[in-house]
Amino acid sequence: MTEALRCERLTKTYASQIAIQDLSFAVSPGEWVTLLGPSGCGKTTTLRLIMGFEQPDRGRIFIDDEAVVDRGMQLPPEKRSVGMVFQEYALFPHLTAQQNIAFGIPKHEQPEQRVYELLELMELEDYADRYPHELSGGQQQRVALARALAPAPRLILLDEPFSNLDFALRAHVRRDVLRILKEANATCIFVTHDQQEAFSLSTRVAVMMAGHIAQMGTPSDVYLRPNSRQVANFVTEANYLPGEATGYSVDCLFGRLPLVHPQKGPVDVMIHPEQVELNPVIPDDSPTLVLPVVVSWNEYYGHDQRIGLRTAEGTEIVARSDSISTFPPQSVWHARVTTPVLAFSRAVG
Amino acid sequence: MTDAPSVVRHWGNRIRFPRYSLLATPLQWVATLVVAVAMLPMAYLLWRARETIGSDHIDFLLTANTLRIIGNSILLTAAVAISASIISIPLAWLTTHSDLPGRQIWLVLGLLPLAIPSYLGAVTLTLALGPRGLLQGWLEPLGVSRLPEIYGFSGAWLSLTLFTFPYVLLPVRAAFLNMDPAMEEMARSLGSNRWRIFWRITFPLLRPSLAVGMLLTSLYTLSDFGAVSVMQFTTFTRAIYVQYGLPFFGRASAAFLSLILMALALSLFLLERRISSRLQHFRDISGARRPSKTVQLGRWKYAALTFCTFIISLSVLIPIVVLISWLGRHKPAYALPLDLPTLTQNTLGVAALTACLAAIATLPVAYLVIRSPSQWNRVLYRLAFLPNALPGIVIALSLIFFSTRHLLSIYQTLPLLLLGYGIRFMPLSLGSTRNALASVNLRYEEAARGLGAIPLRALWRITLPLARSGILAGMALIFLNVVKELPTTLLLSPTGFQTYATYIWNSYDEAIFSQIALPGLILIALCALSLIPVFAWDRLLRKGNGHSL
Amino acid sequence: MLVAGLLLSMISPNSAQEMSEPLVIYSGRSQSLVEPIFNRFSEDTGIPIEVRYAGTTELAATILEEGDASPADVFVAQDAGALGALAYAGRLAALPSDITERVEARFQSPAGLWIGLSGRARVLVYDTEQVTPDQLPASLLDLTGEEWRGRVGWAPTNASFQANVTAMRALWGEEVTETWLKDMIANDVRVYPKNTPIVQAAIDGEIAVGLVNHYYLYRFLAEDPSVTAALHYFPNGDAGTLVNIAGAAILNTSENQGLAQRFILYLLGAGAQTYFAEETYEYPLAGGVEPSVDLVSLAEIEVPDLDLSDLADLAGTVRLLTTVGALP
Repeated sequence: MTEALRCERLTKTYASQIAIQDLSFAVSPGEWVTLLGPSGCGKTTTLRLIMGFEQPDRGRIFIDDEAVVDRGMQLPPEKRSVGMVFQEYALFPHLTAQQNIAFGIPKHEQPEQRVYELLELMELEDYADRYPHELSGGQQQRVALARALAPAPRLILLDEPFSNLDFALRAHVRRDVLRILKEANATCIFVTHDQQEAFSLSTRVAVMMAGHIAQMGTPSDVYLRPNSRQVANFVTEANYLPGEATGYSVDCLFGRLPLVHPQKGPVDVMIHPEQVELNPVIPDDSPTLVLPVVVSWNEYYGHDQRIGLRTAEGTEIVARSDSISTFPPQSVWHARVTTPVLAFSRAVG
Repeated sequence: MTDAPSVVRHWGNRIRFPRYSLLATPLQWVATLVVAVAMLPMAYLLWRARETIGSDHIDFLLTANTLRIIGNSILLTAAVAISASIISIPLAWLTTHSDLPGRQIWLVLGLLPLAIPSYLGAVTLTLALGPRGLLQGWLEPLGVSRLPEIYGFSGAWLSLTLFTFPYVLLPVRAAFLNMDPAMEEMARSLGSNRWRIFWRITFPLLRPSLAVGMLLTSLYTLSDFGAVSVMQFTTFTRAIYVQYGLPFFGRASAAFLSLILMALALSLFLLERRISSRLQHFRDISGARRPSKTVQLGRWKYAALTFCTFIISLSVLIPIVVLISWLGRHKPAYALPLDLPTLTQNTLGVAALTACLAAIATLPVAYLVIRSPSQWNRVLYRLAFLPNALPGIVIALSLIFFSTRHLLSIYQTLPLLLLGYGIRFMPLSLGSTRNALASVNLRYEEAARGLGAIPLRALWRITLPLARSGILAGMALIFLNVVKELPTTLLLSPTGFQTYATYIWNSYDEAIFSQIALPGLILIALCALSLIPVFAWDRLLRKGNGHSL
Repeated sequence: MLVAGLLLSMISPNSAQEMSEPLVIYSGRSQSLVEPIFNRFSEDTGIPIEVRYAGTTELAATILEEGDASPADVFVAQDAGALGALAYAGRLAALPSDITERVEARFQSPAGLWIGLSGRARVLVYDTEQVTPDQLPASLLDLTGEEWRGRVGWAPTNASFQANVTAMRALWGEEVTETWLKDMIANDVRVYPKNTPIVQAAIDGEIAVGLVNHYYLYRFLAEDPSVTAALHYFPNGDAGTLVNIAGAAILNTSENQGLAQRFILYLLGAGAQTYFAEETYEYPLAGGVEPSVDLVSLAEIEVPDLDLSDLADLAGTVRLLTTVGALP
C-alpha cells in the first residue's frame, strides 16, 4: 500500500461553470491533509467527488490503490469505505446518539461493542440515549465523528468541521477531535477556509485556488515559502514593499535583505509581520538598515499583538510582537528585518 | 463562482441526481409507469371519443339537451362558488381578526362539513327541509302548508354550498393570517374608514386566495354526483350516470358528456394551479409578519354569533340531528340487511389499502422531482396532478370501458376499484409527500450513503422516517376521500361488495331512510376522525391554502 | 406489502364461495325484493351464486358493453322491454321447452329467448289525503292538466316506466307520446330514481299521484296498514295500465347453461311463485299459484290491446326520452 488516496486530473463543471480543473494530489496513509482555500475554490466539491456524491467529468480517483472512479466506472458512495463529517454534522435527528453511531456498522460486526468503545473514546457514555437536539454543539461534533469512524473507513473527510462551533468551544473540541483521530490512526482530509486551522491540523496543506491546487506542502513550507503572490495573499497577512532584486539579495525600504530564492529585477518583497523586529533604541551593529517608525495603531490579541507603523516617508507597515511589550500610539520605535525574505517579481507594465 | 453551485444555496432542492445512483434509473421507470397509469382514464376516454364523434349519434348528442346540461353545470358551479365565498369571507375574518368568543371552536365546526359526504348531506337536507320534512312538521301548526321547493337547482345549490364552503374558508383564512397589518394601519392613518379599507386594501390582497378557494369549490361542485342526484338537478355527473345506465348509445353519450366535463374540469384545474403557484410566490417573498390586531366586535358580537350559529346549524347540525331522529324509526321488513362489521371492514379496508398503495405510488414521482428535477421528472410530477381534476364518475366510466374491452381479468374486481380510487386520489398525497421529502436535508441521505447504506436503505431508514408526518397527512387525506367517495364505488365495486357509501346510496334509492341513519352517523364519525390527522400533520390551519383537500 | 395482502384478503367479497365457480346473476330487480328468494335457491340447491344489483336498463347496457366477455350467466329484468332489447341484439340463448311450457305464451318471448317470472301492472299510486277517487284521471293523458302541476311523480330511468312509454308509442303513436312527455315536463313533474321513493313520496304527501308498478304499495301496507295511499287502475285499456312481466333470460355467452336453467326453473317452481305472490305482491305466472287475495285479478284489469313483444323498441323510447329531456 503506497497511497491512501490519489486524485488524478479531476475536472468538474456545473452548468458550464468550472468548479474543479485538472486537480491532482495524493495522500499517504496516516497523513492529515488540509484543503485550504477561499470559498468557491472547489474544495467542498473535491470532497464530494472523493465521497462519490458527485461524478467528475474527467479524471480518476484511487483509494488504497483501488480505482473508485475510472473512465466511466463509478463506485457508489456506500462501497468506497470513506467516512465523512459534514459541516452541519447531519446527525439523523430521529435516531439517538447511539443509534447514529451504530448506523454504519454491519449487523454481523457486533455493533453494540463497537458503539460502546466509540462512546468511551468520545467521552459520551452518559449521552448514548440522547437525541441530537438534546446535545451541545461539541457533543454533536463528537457523535458525528464517532459515526464516521464507526465502520472503520479507509479515509475520513471532514468538511469545515469546526466552523459551526463557538470560538470558546472550538479550541477544546479541536483538541479532542485530534486526539481521537490520532488514536484511531486515521488518514484524514480536512476542508477549511481558516489558515490557522489548516496549519495547526495537518501534516500537509493543499492551497486551492479557482479549482486547482496552487501549492501543496508542509504548513511551514506554505506559510514561509508561498509559491505565488495569490497563495501568499491567502495564507499570510504580509507586508509587500517594492524592491530591486540582485541575485541573492534585494534592495528595499529595509535596506539590502537576503533572499530565500535568488531573483533579479523589480519585485515585491514579502515581509511577514513577525519578521519586523521593533527596538526601543537603535541596536548596535545591525547587519541591515534600521528604520525609525511611529506607532499608528495596535490590535491586542492576548497571545500576541499587531502593530501598525508609519515610516517617515509615510509607508504603512504591519508588525507582530509578543503580548508583553507595550506600543503606545505615537511612540517611536526602530524597526529592522534580519531574516531572509521572499520576493515576487512585479508584473511588467 | 460558488463552491459546488446550488448545493450550498438550495440544498435538497436543486441538487442534480448524480449518475452513480442505482436508484435513478429503475425509479425513473417506476415513476413513469405510475404516471402513465394515472393518465390512462383520460387518454382512453379521448381515444374512445373517436367512436362517438365519428358516429351518427353526434347530431343527437349536440342537442338543446346537452346545452342545458352545460348551462346547468356552469350555473350551479358559479352559484356555489359565490355563495361559499359569501359564507367563508366573514367566517374567516371572524376567526382570525375578531374577538369572537370561541374562535377556535367555530373554526373546527366550520371545517366539519368536510366530514359530511355531499349525498348524505343532501339526503338529510331533503328530510329536514323537503315537503313533509322536519321543518314543515314544526311549521305546520303555524299554517305553513308548503315550503319553498327544495328539489332542483335550489337544493343542489344549498347542499353543495353548505358542504363545500370549507374549501374557500381554508385559503381565505390563510390569506387573512398572512396579511400584513401595516397595510391596514397605514390606510387607517390616512383617514379611510373600515368599509373603504376592506374594499380598497383587504379585498384585493384576499383576491388570489379567494380565487383559489372558489376554483376548488367549483371543481368539487362540477364533479359532485351525490348531491345533484338527490336534488334531481341535471348536471354533467347526473347525466353521465343516467346515460351510462341506458343501453345502445347510452354509453357513447356518457363518454361524450364525460369528455366535455373533462375539458371543463381541466381548464378550471389549470387555472387554479396557475393562481395558486403565483400565490405561493407571494408568500415566499413575504417574510415573517407580526400578528394582526384583533378587532373588538362590541355589540356586533351577537350578530356574528347568530351568523356562525346559522351556518353551522345548516351544515353540521341538521345532518346529525336528522340522522339521529331517524335512528329509532321503524325499519321495514324489506329493508336491505345491515351488516355493520362487513361494511366497516370493507370501507376501512379499501380506504386504508388505497392510502397505502397511493403513498407507495406517489413516492417515486415526488422523490424524483425533489432529488433529480430534470425536465422529464418535472413533467411527470405535473402530469400526476391532472387526474385530481377528473370527476370520479369520469374515471370510473373510463376504467369500465377500458377493462371490459382490454383487461377483462380485472373487470368487476377489487383491484379495478382500487385503481379507480388510486388514480383519482393519488394527487392528494403527491403535494404533501413532495413537500415532506423536500424538507429532508439531502445531507442526511448522503451521510447514510457514506456510512455504507445502499440507496434503498437510506430511503427507508432515514428519508422516509423524517418525511413521515407529511406522507401520513397525505394518506389520511386519501383515506378520508375514499371513505366519502360514492360514484367510483358505485360503478367499480365488485359484485356483492358494499361500503358505507354504497349502502347509504342504495337505501336512499329504495327510500328506506331509517336504514341510512346509523350507517350515516358512523360514516360521518369516520370522516371526522380522519380529518384530525389531515389538519394536525399538514399544519394546514396555520399556513396551508387548503389545496391538498 | 404484507399488510396490503392481509387487507386485500380481508375485504375480498364472497371469498368463501370462490372454491366452485358461482352462477353469476345480473339482477335488475331490487335487492330488497329478490335477495331472499335468490338466497333460498342457493341454500336449497347448494349452487353458489353471485348477484350484481343495478337498474334493469343499466344492466342491459352493461351486458351489451361487456360483449362476449360478459361474466353474467342469467339476467333477471324487471320488464320485458330490456329482455326484448337483449334478444334483438342476439345476446340470449334459447330456453328449453321444459321452461317455456310452464308459462302462458303471452308472458314470454315468441322465440323462447326470455320468460316471465311474475306479472305486474302499471298503476297510479295516489295520496288519499290529497286526492279523492272522483278526482282521479281517466287517462295518463289527463296528467298534463294544470290541476296536477308539480304533483305527479315519475321515474324515467326506471325500466318499467320506459316500457310504459314504449306502450304509449305503440298504442297512441310517436307524436302523442312526445307531446305528452313534453307537457308533463312543462307541468313540473317530479323525478325519482325508482318506484319505491315515488310510493313513499305519495304516502308522505310530497306528491299527489305517481306512476308506479302495483306491488310497491303493498309492501308499505304490510308494514303499516294505515298508510294514506291507494292504487288507481286506468280504465278503458289506457296505456297507463299495462300488464308487464319481470322475467329472466340466459346469456348465450354463459358457460353455465345447465345451472342457469335450474335457476330459472327454481324461480318458476311453486315455492318461488308463492314468494312472488305473498312477499312481493306480484302476479304468479306458473306452478298453479294464485295471487295474494288483496290484488285485483289479472282478468279484471282493462289492459290495452298490446303484446309484450310490442315493448321491445327500448332504443326508440330511450332516444325519445332523451330528446325531450326527460332523460338527461
